[in-house]
Amino acid sequence: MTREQKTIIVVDDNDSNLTACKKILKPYYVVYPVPSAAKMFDLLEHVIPDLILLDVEMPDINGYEAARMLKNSETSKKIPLIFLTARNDSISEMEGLNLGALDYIHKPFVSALLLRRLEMHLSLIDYQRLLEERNRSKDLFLSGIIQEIRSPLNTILDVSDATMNDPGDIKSCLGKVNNAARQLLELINNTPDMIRIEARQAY
Amino acid sequence: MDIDIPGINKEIGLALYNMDEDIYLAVLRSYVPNAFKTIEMLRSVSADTLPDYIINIHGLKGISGGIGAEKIREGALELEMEAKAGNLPGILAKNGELLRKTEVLASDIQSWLGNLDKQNPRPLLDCPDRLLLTQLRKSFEAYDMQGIDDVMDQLESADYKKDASLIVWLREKIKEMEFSSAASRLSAYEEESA
Repeated sequence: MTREQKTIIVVDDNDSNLTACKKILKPYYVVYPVPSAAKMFDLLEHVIPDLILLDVEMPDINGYEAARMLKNSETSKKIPLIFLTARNDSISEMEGLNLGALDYIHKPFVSALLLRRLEMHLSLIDYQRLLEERNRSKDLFLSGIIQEIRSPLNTILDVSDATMNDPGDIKSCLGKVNNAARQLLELINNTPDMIRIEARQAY
Repeated sequence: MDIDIPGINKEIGLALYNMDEDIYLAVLRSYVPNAFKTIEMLRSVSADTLPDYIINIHGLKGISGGIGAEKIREGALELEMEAKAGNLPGILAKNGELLRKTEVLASDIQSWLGNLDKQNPRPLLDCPDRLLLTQLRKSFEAYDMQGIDDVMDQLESADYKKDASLIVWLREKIKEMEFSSAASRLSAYEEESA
């Protein structure tokens, strides 16, 4: 079985934990096992992962400090983060979540649960990105519609202003207003079809 | 496979990896050097080194839990709590004994793995495959982890009469994420052997 090969960086100062994570995740993901937060920042200059699994208790830069640094950088602030730790107190867990982590997985972890939770988070991230993309495309669509509506409405306003000032050629003016109104009606009638096409393109 | 190592509850260990012996063996292999290294870091403890001691004893707790070495994990947890409470006499009273037990366990795992390897020897080749090494260099240069893994799996499936140390060195560089230095050495190796 191969899932979409997403990239995960695992950061842990302990080689046994890195070995376990690598072995568990490798059949499903591209896994970069990294022994320190400093090395993770070096790696991020070359590789942008789909997710980072970050140990908390590490010498030099601990997981929380690393998370703060990640979130303060333009290039890495959007990378989803999950803490992986042997700490099991709720204060630590809350601190991790407050730093913007998606989750807090306790060690030793059960491989099937680790995989399931990663799969779940990565799916949610995909859905979130899809929704953001669809929102962007909806914004574009709406601005297009507004442009389309503006032109006949301007015609109606211009012609009605002109007719109020000089009602001499009222028949020709009413003809122009009628044309503009028909354009608007056609646009409104076609909008549900256009929305459906846009929705299909978004998927 | 009969995993019978005193001090390890293999049911607990294997259950962590969905009863996958391949993963469990890899974790056992990495436990040995890690445990010896951690023991050395934990050997001397004072009020000044207590913050480092907390990190290292926490690490010992984690790796021991990861193989089902429950007694060591529990002992490490107890000392981690003492360290966090700043109870240096409490640590000094139990630290030596825990390290001695951990040393025995790591040695037992090492000799069990040694016997296992003797029963399943790898093929002995003249030297590492040149084409694979070139492929590996390119993967290092591209930071292509999948490519690195694929080639290393092949290179590590054999023993070598010549340049075996190169493969061990490359594995260390991968662990340290020093891809540039690995690529440079492979480049020099290619030139030397051309």
